[in-house]
Formats: sequence, C-alpha cells, structure tokens
Amino acid sequence: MLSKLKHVLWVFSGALIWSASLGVLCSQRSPMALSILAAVTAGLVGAASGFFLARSRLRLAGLWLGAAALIALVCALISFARNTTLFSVVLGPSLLFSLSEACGWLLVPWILVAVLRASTQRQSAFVVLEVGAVGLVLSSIFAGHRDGFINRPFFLVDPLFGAGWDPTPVFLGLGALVGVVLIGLMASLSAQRRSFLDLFLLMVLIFGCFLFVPVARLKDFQGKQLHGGTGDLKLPGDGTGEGQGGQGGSQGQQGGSQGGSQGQQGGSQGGGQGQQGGAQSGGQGGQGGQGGEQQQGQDGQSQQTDELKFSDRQEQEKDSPVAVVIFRDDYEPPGGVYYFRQDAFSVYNGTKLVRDASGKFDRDALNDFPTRATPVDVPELRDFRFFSETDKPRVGSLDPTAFKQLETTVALIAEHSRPFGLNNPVSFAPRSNPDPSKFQRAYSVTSMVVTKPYKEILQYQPGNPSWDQETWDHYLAAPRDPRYAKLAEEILQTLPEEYRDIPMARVIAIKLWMEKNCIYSLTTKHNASDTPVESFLFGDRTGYCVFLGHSAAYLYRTLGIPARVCHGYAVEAAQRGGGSSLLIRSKNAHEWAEVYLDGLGWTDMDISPERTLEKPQEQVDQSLQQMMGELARKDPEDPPPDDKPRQDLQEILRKLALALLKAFPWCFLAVLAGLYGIKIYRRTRPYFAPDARLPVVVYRATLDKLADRGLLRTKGETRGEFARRLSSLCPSFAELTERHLEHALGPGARPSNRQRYLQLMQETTRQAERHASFGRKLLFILNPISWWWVK
Amino acid sequence: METMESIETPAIAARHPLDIPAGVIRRLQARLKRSVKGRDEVIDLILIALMADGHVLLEDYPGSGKTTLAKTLGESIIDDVEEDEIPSFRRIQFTPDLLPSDITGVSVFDVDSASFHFRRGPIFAYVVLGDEINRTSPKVQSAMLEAMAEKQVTVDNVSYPLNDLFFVIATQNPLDLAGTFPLPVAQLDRFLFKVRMDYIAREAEIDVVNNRILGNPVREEDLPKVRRGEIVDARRAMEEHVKVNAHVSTCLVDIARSIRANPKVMQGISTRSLVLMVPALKAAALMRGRDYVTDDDVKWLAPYVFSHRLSLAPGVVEPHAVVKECSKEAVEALSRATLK
Repeated sequence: MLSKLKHVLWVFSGALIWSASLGVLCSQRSPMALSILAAVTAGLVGAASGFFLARSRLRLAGLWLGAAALIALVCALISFARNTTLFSVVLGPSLLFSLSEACGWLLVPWILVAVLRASTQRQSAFVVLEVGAVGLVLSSIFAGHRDGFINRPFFLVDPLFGAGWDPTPVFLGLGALVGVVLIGLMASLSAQRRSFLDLFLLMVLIFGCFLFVPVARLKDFQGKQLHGGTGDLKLPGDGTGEGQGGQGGSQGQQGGSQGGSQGQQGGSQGGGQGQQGGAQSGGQGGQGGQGGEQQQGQDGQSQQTDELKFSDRQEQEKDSPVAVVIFRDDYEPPGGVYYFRQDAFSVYNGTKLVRDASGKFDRDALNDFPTRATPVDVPELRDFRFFSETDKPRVGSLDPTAFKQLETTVALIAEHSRPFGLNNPVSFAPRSNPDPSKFQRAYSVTSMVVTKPYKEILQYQPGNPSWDQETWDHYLAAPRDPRYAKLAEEILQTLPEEYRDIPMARVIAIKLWMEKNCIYSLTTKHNASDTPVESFLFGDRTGYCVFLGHSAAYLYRTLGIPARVCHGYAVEAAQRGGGSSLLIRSKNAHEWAEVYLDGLGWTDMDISPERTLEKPQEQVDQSLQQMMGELARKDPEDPPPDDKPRQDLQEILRKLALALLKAFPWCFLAVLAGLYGIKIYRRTRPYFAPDARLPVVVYRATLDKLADRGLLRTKGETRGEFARRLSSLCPSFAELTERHLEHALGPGARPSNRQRYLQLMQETTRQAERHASFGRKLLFILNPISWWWVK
Repeated sequence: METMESIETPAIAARHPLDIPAGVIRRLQARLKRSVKGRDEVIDLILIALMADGHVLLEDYPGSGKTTLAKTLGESIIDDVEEDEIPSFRRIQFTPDLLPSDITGVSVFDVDSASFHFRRGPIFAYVVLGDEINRTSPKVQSAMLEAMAEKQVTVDNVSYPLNDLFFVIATQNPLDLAGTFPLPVAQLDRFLFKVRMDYIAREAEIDVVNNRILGNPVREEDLPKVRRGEIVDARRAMEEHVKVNAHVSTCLVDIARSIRANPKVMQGISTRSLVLMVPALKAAALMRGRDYVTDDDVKWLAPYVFSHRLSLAPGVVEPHAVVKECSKEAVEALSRATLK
C-alpha cells in the first residue's frame, strides 16, 4: 500500500517537473497567461495520458507515428485557423492569436509528453530521451549565458544587476536546481532499479548531439525576444520610418550594455527580415527621408547597419573621433588608403546588396567582438595562418609573396557593434581596455596586408578556383537591367585592344571611367526611385559612397568578376604621418566595392570621383592623434596576445569519434580473429591433448560443434538430460557423455582410448549435421562465438 | 571391430563387485513393475530407499496400490534366516486408539516357564507397511519412529534389535485431516523420501482394470526373487564401490545453503539430510547402471529428499518447486564442473 502510494507520488512529481519546465519554456517563448496556463496543464495532462497510454495495447512504434501525425494535424489546424478570415473576423485578431497560441501550447506538449512518458514506462531506456528533452527545455532558457556572457540572459540578469547583485551565485544555484530536477525526473519514472545502460545512453545522446549540432551556427542564433517593450527593435523593413532613426540614434547614444547587446539581437533578427523585404525597405526607407540610420552608420554607433541606406541627403554632423588604431609595424597601403573593413554585403536582393544571413559567405567579417583569440574562419586565410615556406599552397590559397603580416590594436572610442580590421584579417583577440574613461573596448587584429603595387594586380584572375557554383552565383548576382551590360560594353570600348581580355584590366577600366564620370556629393535625389542605383548610374551620376560602391559592384559583377560592397572606414595613409597610431573619425566612415582575386583575396576597388561637390576633409590634428595613440598604448599589464588557435572541443571530439570509427574495423577484426583462434584451438585440441585431458577436450570440442548447430544445453539441464534430448539425433553423443562423466565424476583414472574418443566425436558431429545443407554447414563453421555459449 | 573389443564398456564390467547389487535392484524392479502398473518412479524411489537403508513416506489416497506395492516388495524377499521367525512383510493400520505395544510387541507371562516372554509385534518384519501413520497418537508415532531410527525396540527395559533389513513404507492421506496427528518436521526427517503419488496414467489404469476383468492377475511368481542376505550385501557393496565426487558433495552443501537463504523457507534442511542423501545418490547411480554419481542423480533426488524437511514461509505451498529453484544453480555448477 505504502509502496503504491510512493509510486503514485513519484509519478506525480514527474508530471510536476514536466509541467513546470513547459511553463517556464512557454513564459519565454509566448509570454501570455493563457499560453502559460495551457503549457502547465499540458505537462500534467500529458503525464497522466502517458500513464494510461503505457497500459494500452498500442505498440511503441504506433504511438510515435500516431503522435507525429497528431502534431502535424494540430499544427495544420492552428495555421488554418490563423489564416482564415472568418475566425479573425468572429474572434478578433488578438483573441484569435492568443487562443491559437494557447491551443498550440496545450496540444503539442500534451502529445509529446504523453508519448515520451508512455515510452519510458514501457521501456526504461527511454528515460534518456525524456531527461534529454527536459534538460534541453531548461537549458534553452539559459542559452544566452553561453560563452560566459555574465550579462545574459537579460531577463534574468538585468533585474539582478539593477538591484546591484552579482548574478554568479544565481547561475550556480540555477544549474544545481536543474540538475536536481533532472535527477528527480529520472527517479520518478520507475521504482525499478536504474541500469548503467541508461547512464551510458544518456552520455551517448549528449555526445552525439554535441557532435552533430553545429555549435558555430548556434552561436549566431539569439533567442527570439517577443517582449521588446522599449520599441528599439523595430524592424528595418518597417516602412513608416517615422522618427525611427532619431529614436534609434538616441538609444544608441545611451551606449549602455543593454542597448548594445539588444541592438545585436535585433541585428541578427533583422538580417533575415532585411533579406525578405529588402526591396521594399530600400525604396521606402529612403522615402522616409529621415536619414537617421545613415547617420548612425556614419557614427559607427551601436545601431547595426544590416544594409546600406540610400538617402537624398547624407547627414553631416560634427566630426568626432571613433577609434584609434595602433600599428605594430610600419605599413603603407599600395593604394594610399587604409580600408578598415567592418562589414561586407554581398547578397543581391533585387535592389541592393545586403548582409548574408546564412553564415556561408563573407565569413571574414566577424559578427561579435572576440572573447578569446579567434581565427577568422575562411579557408584561404586559415591556410595563410599556418602556411610555412615548405608547404605547397593549395588551390585557391593566397599568394604568400603578395602579403605581409601586420598586427594592429584597435581601441574604440565610440561603441561599435562589431570589430573592424584591415583587409584580410586572420585573427582577432581581445585586449584589456587601456583607459575605460576614454575607450569603450580594445582588441587586436592580425591582418595579411597587401604589399604588391596595384599595377601588378593585372596578373591575378578573378574568383577562386576552389569555389563551388553556389559561391560563384552568389558573388555574380547582378541586376538584370540590360543597361549595365551596355554601359560596361561602352566602357570596355575605351580600353586598348590588347587589354580587353584581361579581367583586371576591365575592372580598372570601369574604376577609371567611374572616377572620371561620377561626381561625389552627399546630396542626391535618387532615393525617390524604386531603383536608386540605376537612377544614379544612368542618371546624373552624382552621389556618395553607397551609390558609387553599389554601381561599381554591379558593373564588376556584370563583367563576371566576383564583387561585394563593404562598410567600414577609409583613412588616407598620409594621415598617419609616419607615426604608429591612426585616429579614425566618424567622417572616415565609408562604403566601397571589393573584387575577389585568386591569390589576393578580397581587394578594394574603390571609386574616388575626380569631381566632388563637398568641401575637402579637415586634416586631423596630429597631436591629438599622437595623444590618443599614447593613451591606447598604455596597457602594460596586457597579457601577451594568446596566439594559440582556440581549442575547439567539438572538433576534438569529432576527431576522436572519427578515430574510434576508423579504429573500429581493426578492433573488430582483432576480436574476430581472437574468437576464431579460440574456436580453432578448442576444436583441434583433441588431436594433441594429453590422454588425461582427453575426455574433457573431446567432449568440449563436441559440444562446440553441437553449439554451431544451435544445439545447446539449457541452463539447469544436466549433462545426462542433454544427451537424452539429443539421443534421436546423435546416438553416439550419449556414449560420449557417459565416458566424459565417468572421467569427471567417476572412481579414478581409467585408461582412455584416444581412437574411440575421436571416433565418437566424429560420429556425433556427422550425425548432428546429417540434414544440414552445404550453406548451413558453412554458416556453422563461420560462426565465431558459438563456443561462447558452451558451458 | 577389433577396437570395439578392446574398449571397456562404460557400464559396469563383468564380474564387477557391483554386479550383485545391480542384479538385486534389477530383479526387485522387475517384480514390482510387473505387479504395480504406472508407478515406475515410485518403485524406483522405494528401491533406492531400500538400498540406501532409508524409509519412505507415501502421501496418497486410499486404493492407490501402496499395499500391493509393499506386499510385493515383502514377498520378493526370500527369508534366508528362517529360524528368526521374522516375516518378510507386515502391515500395520494405524488408528487413534493404537498403543505402542501393539506395534512393538509385549511381554507375556508364560505359565509353563513361570517367566515373561517377549512376544514380537508386527514391527518385526523386513518390510513394514505403516498405513495412515498420521492417524495414530504421537506416542505410537514416536515408538514407530524410534524403531525406524535405531533399528531396535525397547520393551520393559530390554532392547530387541530389529533386522538389518528393516524397511518401513508409511503412508498418509494428504486430505481428510480431521482427527489426525500430523507428523512434525523432526519426525518427518526420519524418512528418506516423502513421495507424493498422483493418479496413474490412463493407459496404466486401463491395464489395471483389464487385468481384473479378464481374470488375468499379474503373476510375478515366475520372476526371480531376492534373498534377504543379498540385499544386505548389496548395500555394503554399493557403499563401498559407488563413487561420489567431491564436486557432488560441494553441490549438496550449496543446495542446502541456497535453501536456507531462500526467503520462502522458514527453516532449512539439516546437515543430516545431506548425509542421508549420499547413499540415496549412490543407489540412484547404481540403479542407472553407473558406479559414480552425476548431476542427473542430484537433480532427480533433491526434491524427494529435501522438500519434506523444510518449514516453508506462510503462503508458500510448493516445497518441491522451492527445492528445484534452490538447487538449480548448484546443479548447474556441478554440470559445468565436469568440463573444468
């Protein structure tokens, strides 16, 4: 009675755990009282249903298939209800939304929990799946805390920080609590003893998940935050644009960690959005005419620029310093301008180029500030990093003679959302902030900078031979407007005949033509057009860097040369003035086109028009530059930069798994060989065993042969009974058994007759395989472990 | 076939000392099986008990042929010591008003010699059938059981030894327990076997009925009998020549320990029962034509020897099943030991 009560209590506690974790999950994902209530109910009801399902006659496979079908049906029904006008008219959209959310949160977890719990009650090994599921649910809530972000998840840490508490003990406590909950769940599932197999399965599950879940992708993923009450998360595609820029700007200037990180979240969210509604936002955002976003881009402030905005008037606010770059080595760019790339845009969305959200392209632009030494995950740059003189360069790797390694330290004065560095950064590493009152943060970048003069560029071919077709298509996607091709053709006509087939000569021809025929102006009137770039290029050709960069990139792409537009800072080399520090001002913000060359990588092909309507930039105050440089350099306690590549645990485990997989066949073969060895030894032993051992080894060999044929003594069956059972099949076996028993249990040694023993053994074997076909006999011989069962 | 000639036969070789006991068992077996149909295992067990110098308690219902069995056994033994006036077979029907002297005998006053003479009771026989032993009073039971244990009776302070070949087949009715004195475990311990006799198989029963209808009663007279002395000699020869391997004694002890450790058992079996088991095993081996004891014998006899010596926990009713369950591991170990 008491044990039954205990059992019920345990089952109930399992239901409670499920319902609590579902409630917590729901409060994160769909924070409405009705949904949370539904999720909590689903946990309880699901556990109860599982209890009864386990006692039903349904099979496990049927349960799972049925559950999958039910879930699909529920999802389809909810989606149908949401998309049908009738329901939204009758119920009103907000009621419909909360009802459908609640339905989803009730039914789907109900089915899942019921099936999981039923499976576990049928087959205790399923506990692993259940514990894994609850663990995943609970840990997903704290996913923001990955990589040691002490300030995440915000919903948890912000109130703590606000109250002036240290969140560390809270995290430790929560971790322990989750552990206790999982153990409780495991214990609740059955009163029977838990086997070690479960533990092993759980480890395999975790290990397997870790191996196959792309952690690098997950890093870019931020939890969906629905409750953005402050309004600073308005989507970029939001056509109204009213006051958005200003608001965003003011948010950005607040600067605090909250604004910065939320901006980042909005950024990744907006990446997808921008891609979808890019055409719309391109035109309409311009129409809004606020220009605030562009201003932020100029400012390099925290607001993310997922796409470059076209506007009629680029706001010119006061010129303020945004960062100091300290060069650890002397370097003069061949083009005379330092290009600090912060971001790259290469996805053509029909109007302009936006950032790639898939994570496949433009991986040389980092999304986050480094928290440890982070190598840039681009094959050719990675190769470079580990390239030594003796190695032969791979196809598509960079030309080592064209580069030199340059280390720079960047100290940010204004808050930025992502780090920037010179062309071809190979690794980023965090630095301690030299002066927190002046600088936001500091980091170091190691870049492979080009040393080849521009004129030698002609020998390089565009693109990379190691690219696949998708990459080529990606970097060559250009407007289908025939005017581009026509214009490009016209420009090529100006090129001398002998250069026309050299791709780089064509690029340079376009660059020169545009520099000659475009006018730089911060004021344009092309935003009213649905196609601002075309309006600019085939119109008055008066505009600023965004227009120039896009036009150039489209023309390059039209000629079949992979190109993209980059965002960052362009600073004239002369400004450095021989010193080691370089002050970047907000006016240095720039967009430029880049082309990809085999051996050189992404190379800037910026257009600097000969004619400009703007006043020339003020020269930077050299003493200010010096002073800021000194300030930024004052970091005596800075540890030496950690040059070791980050140890990727996933990579190591993957290698381990691969090694195990590779070693498995050999281990298997070795074990097989061992088994066969034992089998053969036991079988041939009768022919060379001493007389005293003969009755035992002969009998064992015979038993082995019988075991090959599946004739085994069952447990509890005596030797005599076994022999009697086989008496009709192998009459000789009875005598052999008798002789064996007499030897083993009988009154002392009697002379054993080797010949007779061997004869009996052979007779028994022959009798046993009398009716077996050749194939079966072969199978008997090949069975490596039949002897194992002989006892 | 020359090789065949030179090979020793696995069974007992010619002129082997065990030829005599084997022959005794064979002859008795043949006679008993002729007269009692469908009771082969019970016959075997009774013969084993006879050879092992034990006694048998049959648990059965009236009319199951036990008197016939005991009578045939008694008649199969030729009394080669006529002068002691001990009959081959006696039957005692136990009733509540029976007195110990009714079975042991009593001293009577002989007027001629003016002295007391001991008149032997029915217990002075080779084979004694004690029918419904649980119906009589504990006093009589204990007198009977003393005789079984000590092979002597004491009347008026004088001990009278019983014959070497004193063999008791007692019976009790498993049902109809009203007014009975069930034997305590300590007294049940005196019996080597307790055999439960079930109804015989259909064919055997038809055979029995047919024999009666056709007036063709089984005649065992033409089958050879056994002399009393032969049985005593056979016991001695068996004791001497049938081998019990050390693995077997290990196995017996393991079975006993396993039974004692079993939660279904309140009181396990005694060491004495293990000692008694050894001659029974030897007899079983001999009956099967071997001069050594095997796992087969242990597995066969263990339930019969051990199950009536246990007190089971409340609610457990199947002592045979318990003994089988407990002996499984030990017998398996014994079977495996032969390949070592």
